[in-house]
Amino acid sequence: MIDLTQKTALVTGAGSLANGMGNGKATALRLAEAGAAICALDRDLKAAEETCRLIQDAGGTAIAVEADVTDEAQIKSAVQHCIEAFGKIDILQNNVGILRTGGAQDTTVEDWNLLAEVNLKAVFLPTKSLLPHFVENGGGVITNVSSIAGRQYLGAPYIAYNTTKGAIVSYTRNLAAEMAPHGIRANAILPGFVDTPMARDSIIQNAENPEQIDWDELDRRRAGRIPLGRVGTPWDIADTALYLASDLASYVTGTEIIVDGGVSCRV
Amino acid sequence: MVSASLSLRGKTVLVTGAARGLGAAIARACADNGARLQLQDLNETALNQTAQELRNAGHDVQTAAFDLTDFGACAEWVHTAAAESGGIWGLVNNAGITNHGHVTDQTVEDYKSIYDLHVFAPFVLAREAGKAMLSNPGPQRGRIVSMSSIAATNPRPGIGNYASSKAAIAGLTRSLAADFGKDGICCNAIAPGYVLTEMNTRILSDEKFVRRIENRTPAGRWAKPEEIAAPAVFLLSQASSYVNGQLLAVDGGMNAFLHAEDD
Repeated sequence: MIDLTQKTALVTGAGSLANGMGNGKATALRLAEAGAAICALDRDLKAAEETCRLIQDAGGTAIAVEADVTDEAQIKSAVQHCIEAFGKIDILQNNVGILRTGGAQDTTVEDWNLLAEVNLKAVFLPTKSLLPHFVENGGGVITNVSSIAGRQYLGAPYIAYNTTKGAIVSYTRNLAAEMAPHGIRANAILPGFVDTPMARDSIIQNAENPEQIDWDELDRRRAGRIPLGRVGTPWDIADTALYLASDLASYVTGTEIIVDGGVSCRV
Repeated sequence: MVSASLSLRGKTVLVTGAARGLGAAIARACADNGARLQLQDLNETALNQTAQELRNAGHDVQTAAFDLTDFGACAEWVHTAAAESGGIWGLVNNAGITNHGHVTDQTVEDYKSIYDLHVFAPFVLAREAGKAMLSNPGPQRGRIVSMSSIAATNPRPGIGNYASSKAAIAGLTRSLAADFGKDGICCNAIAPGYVLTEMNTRILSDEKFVRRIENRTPAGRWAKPEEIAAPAVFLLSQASSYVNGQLLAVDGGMNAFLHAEDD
């Protein structure tokens, strides 16, 4: 249905913690299934290589690239490397994000700066490095991963994280408006409650007795609030990323898609 | 000069569903800020009682007991009120009902009856009131305030007819703002959260539900009717002269908070 066989996609945060399945990894796999050649970028090369192995085992094309999205020199050189490897890049999926607990009173300046540094540079630097190439090629697609936490408080204090996720929406709208004359589209995905290694890691970090977390019970409690009756999977995010990257979305730019099973449309 | 700009002194304000609950609170708040009142309700006895209380406090109050789904009567009420009062400044579309049910159990009639009251009556009233307001000397000629709901954007299950009608009035408000804006008539809507009113008597009797709403509201409690009436006064006053076409959330922060787990 969606054919990306002539396309190349750069996916950041394409590796997953602990060999699990995160949004970036699932997106890389989905885009590869649709025929795109994948540049799987991660600061953990081994994790990116694992994603590439899965793609290659399924008959796809992928290279692993090690880079830290907060380091402009590394990202510039990684982007250059990807362009040289495949001749061009058509799709950029900015997936990198990190989480720190903390409310308005107890968030440290260090954590605040860290979250802005990582989560905002994670959309800013790969985009900035790739835009000249997109302009030269007459187009490109950029999808940034925000969160429903950027719009609403979710019951636990993650104020720095949530602020960065809100800012990604503003960034994406500005980017889309500014770059539209060059045929470049930019949109944001706002995942809801998705079971990923990063999400589990944050729950573990906040738990008084991490070893006593009953994951099935937690899933049940959350699922009860979600109109579709289940917590999301990385594939739900990947499928939306695939749609946005495809020509099905050729008139879609500067907007957000919430992928949360309907949880944010009820009280 | 905030107090002066919030004054409704000598201005005539029409309020629907004014006998009890939110409507009565809005009528009282308008009167306290100097407004002359034209109050409507279906329940004549309750309306007369509320009106008498306001008159006893020294306020200028006229009443009209009729069914808002009689659209001809709606238009006639506006014309009569404008003639009696020498013009009208404000209209508050407040009257509302609930008739809840799962979408699979509801009929078109269940939707139509709600839409008649929540959308079509406000449309007729706004149309006629807007026309009457055009006779006011400008540049500021009037205000139309309609009650939407947090349910317009964030419904709970089983209130499809209510929630969608409240989204419709929010949408209508934007069009009223677009059509009447250049005439100096500001049109806005309020999206209350959960309010301690007679309309909510049934759900207020469900202790578990009451607690659940408290837990999901950052303010930790249901709203008092006066807390919705005060923003209505603001939107009726000079203080809001550049606020037009907006849906103002008055919900204790509820729409900013997504409760993560079932309870």
